[in-house]
Amino acid sequence: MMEAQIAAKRGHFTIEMELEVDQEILVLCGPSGSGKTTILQCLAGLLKPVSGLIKLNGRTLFSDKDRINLPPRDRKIGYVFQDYALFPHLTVKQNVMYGTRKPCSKLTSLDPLSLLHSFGIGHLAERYPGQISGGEKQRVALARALAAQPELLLLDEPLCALDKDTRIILRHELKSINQEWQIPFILVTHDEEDAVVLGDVQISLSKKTAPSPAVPQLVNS
Amino acid sequence: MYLADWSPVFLSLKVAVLAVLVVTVIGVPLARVMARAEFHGKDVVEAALTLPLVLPPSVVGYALLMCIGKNSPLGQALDSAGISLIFTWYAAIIASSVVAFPLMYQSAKAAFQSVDLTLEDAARTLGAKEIRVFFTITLPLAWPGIVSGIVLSFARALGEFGATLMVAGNIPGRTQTIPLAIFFAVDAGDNATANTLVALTTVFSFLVILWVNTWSRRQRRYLER
Repeated sequence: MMEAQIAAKRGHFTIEMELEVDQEILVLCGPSGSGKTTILQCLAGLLKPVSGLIKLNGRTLFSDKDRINLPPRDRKIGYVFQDYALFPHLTVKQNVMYGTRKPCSKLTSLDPLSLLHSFGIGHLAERYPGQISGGEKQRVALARALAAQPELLLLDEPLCALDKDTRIILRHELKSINQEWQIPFILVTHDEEDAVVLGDVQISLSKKTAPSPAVPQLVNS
Repeated sequence: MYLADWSPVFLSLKVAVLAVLVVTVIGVPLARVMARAEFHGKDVVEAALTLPLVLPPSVVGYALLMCIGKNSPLGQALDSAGISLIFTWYAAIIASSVVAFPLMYQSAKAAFQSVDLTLEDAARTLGAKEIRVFFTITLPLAWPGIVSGIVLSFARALGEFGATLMVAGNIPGRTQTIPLAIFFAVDAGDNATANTLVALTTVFSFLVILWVNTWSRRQRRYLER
């Protein structure tokens, strides 16, 4: 369960956002420039909100009142970046292993290789990111984020760089991965079809150029 | 190939290797900090750090004499402790380091700036501490640029003449490096020695550049996306 009420600065305007998500896919939909990525970065701890509160499964990740701001490494939030951000000097397997926790963890340790196989990319384990296709990179990025066993997964435009066929396949894969892993997903997209197919809950953001707060409207589908 | 005295060759290599070591240890961390830092007067600091590259070597040599010479505060302090830097091969290392520093610094800074910040963020969201982010992501990705900095500064240190002559002098067997040996051999009409040293230096430099070019091309191949 993720709860957040934050205000974040993006250029000249402030984005205010209130969201709550529980083992489902929340879609943030809006045109580019509406601050979708800013919100993800705030949740992940890569950007500091101006004010607000972020809680994940009862843990406070950010609170301006209590002066809490956990660094990204302690948040247990997976992040699939828009351009995948795979480490180009590491193999697919090394990429996926990067975030796997040490054996002392109380969580059951996860075998990165079987994870790769379940994503249909087991045969690519020894390849470098520069040698695989866009759809394959997307799967590696997903596997890498999940291998760290996050309690929440953030996805920034996960399908936007893919061709139509791959897009449709991955859309359904995302849906079933979400059901399998039973953690909340927050997904950002500017594509309305993605939003409709993937989103259990949708929030629309509109582009604001005036320095007034963008108050998102909540649409339950 | 005839060379009566090999000491300039060994001394040059020793001085250049140690100068590169000094320049790497100081230049790489400084480049990492400056690549990301934003502060007032950064441009002034940048210009000062690059200055030894564009100044005439005699100016650098004179400035070094002012800093570590017998009449400078530092020189006198060292003198009273029984240490004299001037006209020793330590002074040659200092001179080489100062003129080679900007090459290392500029290469490393450009290398760090070329590293995609999103990759570092990705490592952070995967639970990596800052030190791990640096050694597993930032440094390996900046490595080709740092190596070219090492090679450039090594070549510059090996060829250092003007500043070295002013602070370390030309004492055969003690502070006479290859460039000085060549100059004084030609001056004395000893063309055999000059020819050998010139040939050695040219072949060595050529092989180093050839190796670096081949190596960096191989590095780039798997970094291509």
